[in-house]
This record gives sequence, C-alpha cells and structure tokens, in this order.
Amino acid sequence: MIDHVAMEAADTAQISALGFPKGDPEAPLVELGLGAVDISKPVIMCVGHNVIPTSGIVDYVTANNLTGKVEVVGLCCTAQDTTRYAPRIAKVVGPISWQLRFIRTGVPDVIVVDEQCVRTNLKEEAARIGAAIIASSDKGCQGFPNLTDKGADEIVNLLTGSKIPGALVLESGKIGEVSVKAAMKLAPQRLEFKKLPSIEWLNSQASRCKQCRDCERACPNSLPIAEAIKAIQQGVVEKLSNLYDACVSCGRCESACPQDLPIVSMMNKAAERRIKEEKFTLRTGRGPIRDTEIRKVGRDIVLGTIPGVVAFVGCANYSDGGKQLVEMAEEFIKRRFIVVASGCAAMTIGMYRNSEGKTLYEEYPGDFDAGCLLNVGSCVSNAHITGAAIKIASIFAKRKLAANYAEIADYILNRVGAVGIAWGAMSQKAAAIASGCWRLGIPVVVGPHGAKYRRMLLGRKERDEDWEVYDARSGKKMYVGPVPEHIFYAAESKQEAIVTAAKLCLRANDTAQGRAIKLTHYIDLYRRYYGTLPDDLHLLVRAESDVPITMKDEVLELLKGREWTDKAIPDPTLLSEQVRGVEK
Amino acid sequence: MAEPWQRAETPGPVKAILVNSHETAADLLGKFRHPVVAISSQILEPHVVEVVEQVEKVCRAVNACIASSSSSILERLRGEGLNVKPFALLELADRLRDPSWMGLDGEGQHDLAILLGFHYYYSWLILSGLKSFAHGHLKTFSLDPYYQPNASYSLQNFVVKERWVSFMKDVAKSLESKKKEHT
Repeated sequence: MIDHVAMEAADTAQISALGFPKGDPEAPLVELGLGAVDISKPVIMCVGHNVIPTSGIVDYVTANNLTGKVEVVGLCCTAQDTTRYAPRIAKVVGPISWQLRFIRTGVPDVIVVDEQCVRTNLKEEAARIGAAIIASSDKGCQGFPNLTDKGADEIVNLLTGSKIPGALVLESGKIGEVSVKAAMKLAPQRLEFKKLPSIEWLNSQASRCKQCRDCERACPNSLPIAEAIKAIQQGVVEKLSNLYDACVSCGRCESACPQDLPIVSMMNKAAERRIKEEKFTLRTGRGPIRDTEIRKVGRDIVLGTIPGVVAFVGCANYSDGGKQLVEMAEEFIKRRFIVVASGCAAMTIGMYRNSEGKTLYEEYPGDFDAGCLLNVGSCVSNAHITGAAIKIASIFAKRKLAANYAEIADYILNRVGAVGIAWGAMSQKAAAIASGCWRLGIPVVVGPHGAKYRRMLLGRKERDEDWEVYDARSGKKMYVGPVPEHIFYAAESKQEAIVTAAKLCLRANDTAQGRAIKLTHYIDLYRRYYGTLPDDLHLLVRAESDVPITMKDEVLELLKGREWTDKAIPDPTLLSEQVRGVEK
Repeated sequence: MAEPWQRAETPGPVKAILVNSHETAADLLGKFRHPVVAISSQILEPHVVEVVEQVEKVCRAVNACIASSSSSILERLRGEGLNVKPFALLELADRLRDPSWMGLDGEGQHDLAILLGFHYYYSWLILSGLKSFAHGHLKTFSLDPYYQPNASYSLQNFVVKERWVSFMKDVAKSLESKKKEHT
C-alpha cells in the first residue's frame, strides 16, 4: 500500500511540475520502435525511471531550436515519461529489454542513464560502440567522475575526446546541454558504427559455433539458439531472425558461449528487416482516471455489466515474446472489458499492427470505458489503476477514504471486478506493485517467470468453508462461491492467463445480469481453450438468472448433474464491523 | 554428477535421483499406485513430436490421471481417447501438497506426480515447492529431456533431443511388456 501511495505522490508531482497530460483520454500518439529512430541524426538514448535528466535534454533542444535535428529516444519508464513531457520531440525505442538490442545497432551517440532498470554493463557496451555515457543519478554513478561543477563544454570535450569513458552529472540543465552537444559532435565521427555488419560477418561468426548448446542453457527462455545458428551454417537466416520476438536480449547467451559469439548482434543482423520495420505507435501516458469517468462507468463495473477492468502492467520479461500480451489485450478489449496499461507492458501492446496496419492504440479510444485501451503512463502511474478502484468506492459508493483502508479493500474485493496481468513480471519492484494491488482486493496474474517470486496466493474452490462472507444486511454468514478464486497467480501460458483473468473478474456482489455477462466470457474462453464447459459452474451460478441466456440449456443440464441449488445473493463483506443488521 | 539444464538455477543439497536407464524408469513408473501426469505443450515441438505417442503409451500403461491446461495437449490426448482433465499445474501442485486431497479422480491423493512439457524454470519451481511441502506423501518424476534436481527422479540432460525420443520409446515399450506380463 505504501508503495502505491509513494507512486501516486511521485506521479502527481511529475504531472503538476512538468505539465504531463492530466487524465486526457486523447493524449497524443508517439512513435515507438527501433525503426522509428532516425539514424541520420545525432541520437541520445535515455534509460531508466527518472524523467528529470531527460526533461533537461528536451528543454535544451527546445530552447536552442534543435527540434527535429536531434533524436531524443528512451527506453523503459523514462521513455514513457519523456513522451508525456514532450510528445513532439521524444520517441520510445521500446521496453527495458530493448537496451542491449538498441545499443548493438550502434545507433546511440550518447547514452544517459538515471536509476532503476539500467543494465549494469552499459559502460562496457557504450565503449564497444564508441558512444559517450552520462550517469545522472547518485543512485547509479557507474563509477564515473562527478563533473557536475565543470563547465558543459569542458565535459563535452572530455567525453568526445575519449579522455574519460563517461561522466556523472547531477544537474538536469547541464545534462541537457552536455548530451546534445556531445551527440552532435560524436554523430559524424561514429557513422561506421551506425550500420549493422555484413551478412558475410554473420556467416563467419556462425561458422565458429560448436553446437555445445551452452547458449540455450543460459537462456532464461531456453530459446533454440544453437539450432538457429546451425541453420545459418546451412544458409538459412530465418530461424535466428524468428527468435527476435521471443528474445528478451539479456545477453546471457553471449556470456555463456565458449566461442565468444556476439549472439545479440548476430540476431540483430538476422532480424535487420524486422528492425527497420519496427515502427509503431504508443498513446502517451494519460495519467489518472478522472472522477467524471468513474461516475460514468462505476455503476456498471460494480453491478458487473461491464465485465471487468484488466490492467496490463510491469516489465518485459516475457516467456514467449510480447505478441501474447497484445493478443490478450485485444481479446479483452473486443469483449468490452476496460483495458488499462502502464510501463513497459503498455509499450509492448503498441508494438504490433493488425491486418489494417493499425496498432491497438490507433484502433481503440483511450477512455476509461468498455472496449477502450488506455495507457496511464510509467510504473509510478500504476497508482492511477488502483486509484480508479478506490475512486469507485469513494465516488460511486460514497465510502470514506481517510483512515479507512480495510473497508475500501473489502469493497473492491467484493464488488469491483478488476484484475492485473503482469505478463513479464521481473523485478521486486514489480512484485511490490502487485502486492499493492492484491492487498486492495485486485487479483494479479503473472506470467510463468513470475513463479520465481515463489509466493502465490491461491484459493481452493472446492473448500466451501473458505468462501463465506457476512451479509451486511443480516450479519448472517453466507456462501458466495470462489470469487475471486486467487489473489496472486502465475499462469503457465497465455491461454491459462486469459481464462483465469476472465474468471477472476467475478465478484460476490455481481447482479444476476452482471454475473451472466461475466460467465458468458468465462465459459466462452474456457470452452475455446479447454474444449469443455468449466467444471466449477455449480460454484459460480447462484440462481438460474445468472446463467447466460445463450448457454442456458447446456449449463442447466450440467448443474443438474452436480446437485446444484439456488443460493441467495448477500450484501457481501468480510468485515464484521460492516454488518448493519441484527444477527451480527 | 548431473547438472541442472539451466545453469542459472542452483538446487539445494537434496537432488533428484538420476534415471538414465529406460528399464529403471519403467520400473519406477510402474511401482506407484495412483500417479498423476501433468503435461504441457513443449512436447509438441516439431522435432520431438513423436514423443507424444510414447507419453500416451506411458499414461495408459501406468493408468495415470492426466492434467493439462494446454489446449493443444487437451485436443491431442482426447483425440487419442485419453481422459485428460483441464487443470493448471499451479492449481494441481497446490492440491498435491495437501495429504487429504482426494485427487484428480476423487480416488484419493496421488503418490506420484509426473511432469513434462513445461518451461524448464516453471517445472523447476513447482518441483521445488513439492519437494519442500509434499515430501511425506508424494514423489515426483520429471520426464523432460533435462535434469530437474528438484524432482525425486529425473532423466538426464539430452543434448540431442532425438535421443530423448528414443529413450521414451524404450520406456513405453518396457512398461507395455511389464503390463502384458501382469495380465
């Protein structure tokens, strides 16, 4: 909870100090992807989670009429926030895992790092391509000398004259001036770095592979790298190119290779065409959900007639590539859930085009409403997602906010059908964000790598005694079924995540109409992927009116076989102090 | 000494018994009363697809309950007439910890969980959980082509996957002949 409070304070400060969009559903679209970077211009690459240094770069570009003459591009949350600050100047390269991939293209002239989600070997990687590197945070000095007190031109000369590998500069205005001047000076000197190597180079590297498969044993996703390199030895490049989407570019394969093959660079070369075509769009982070939007949809969410809110959050440590995330998001948008995104997940959702050539951000509106897709912003903007759930309790149900956490969480758990999906869950920070959600009654589904957190919060649907609540009207304990069944769950596959998320939107307070709508989606998805009706419908259907009309015959038939009986729908609460009636 | 397939993973001091003979594998699989097999889609990769037939034979020979949350596995095994239940491995593992659970078929808790076809690290973590929290009543067996030290029994790392397919063929054959002997 404290984490979410801190995130909200951080984003509120950014929004007000830097003039980010304030809950704007029509926040502008910005360019996204490696192919969106204009390599004919000096390129400044910014990585991390703190927008302040990058805002200094944008300010310098604007003040010196350099707009369009320098590329300011970002990765991870710094990119999200820079585009919120300057959508006409900044571009997004991609999520956290694009760092090594982008540097190996040789394109960045200057790399500016702040804090969090920064690769620990950027210093070595920058040196490899002759780029200058500027550390901008005392939390990540990279071992560079602190040159904050020196003049900007002096720092530029030191950086571009190969006298020092990098510099620590702790003043955003100076970072702006130094990085732009250094990039403009370095760009013409670095032209030979800015093109990918030849196909002959790729073949000669591949010919050194001994097929030991040590790369695969180091790969977190066990990608068939050795097989793909063997294919190059036989003249087929596509296999390595095809790994591009599923690779998280961690570079562990290179560390493991006894032949020192530069596998990430080889993959870049193999996927050269994909890289050039990697031009997409991201709707810039809109910030909070407005009260007026909550008033419009709060009732439908609580009653269940909007089947749920699904939030795609977190890092890009995907097990089978980011396309799965896009497919999941589109599935829920088309089913008229409210789909929210943030951080690197929001970027990934923009990195594919449909058959009409549109990204999901171009296709769907950015409102907080059914069938829409909204990007709230960087990781700190996750607080707006939990904030929306809190606002439903406050604005729609008039629950007091001050010193009332338990009641608000109880309200959300029993009434607000929201679920988070952190498909590329990775850092402890992401776990803290998830924890802030589930404590508030919002279940979180993580991808298979999320199992590495080693702590799941799972329910057992067959244990009736675990699914009782108080009826606030009478104080009587009543069975409501396993809703939501789990609070923290690591799904093994996309299919499992989709079915689970649809089910986790069920809530004890759903009206019959709302429950029927939610069950329609759950049953339909379950049947699509598992080929049968779910085996727990007798636990989820409370009355015949809950049964989706189009599935009535078969569901009632199934219920008959399970000795199912009608159950009353309470005014649900887990808190005895919320009971108003006499039987407390 | 067998090593984990993914080198980043470091097991604890208690490691799986390495099973590198198909006869031993068949003997072990045949000695349990109430096994459950959890399967995912990696056994359907094109160059090892033949292994599915062997898995089907193993399931039949040991009369195992089968759980999967993979649509392609469900479709394939049902097509072969096997009774496979849609059940996620995480939910299954949570129940396997509980000695009083009545099992996938309602006939009582299982005494052996066989895993194959999952991401290496996902099996690793599930097996680690079962090793720590179900060790009194459950053994686990990884039939994937990688050494899984957190299982009770595991196959070796098969650098050449085709050798795993042929190993599984031998296991299935041994089990089938044992079954014939018993009947």
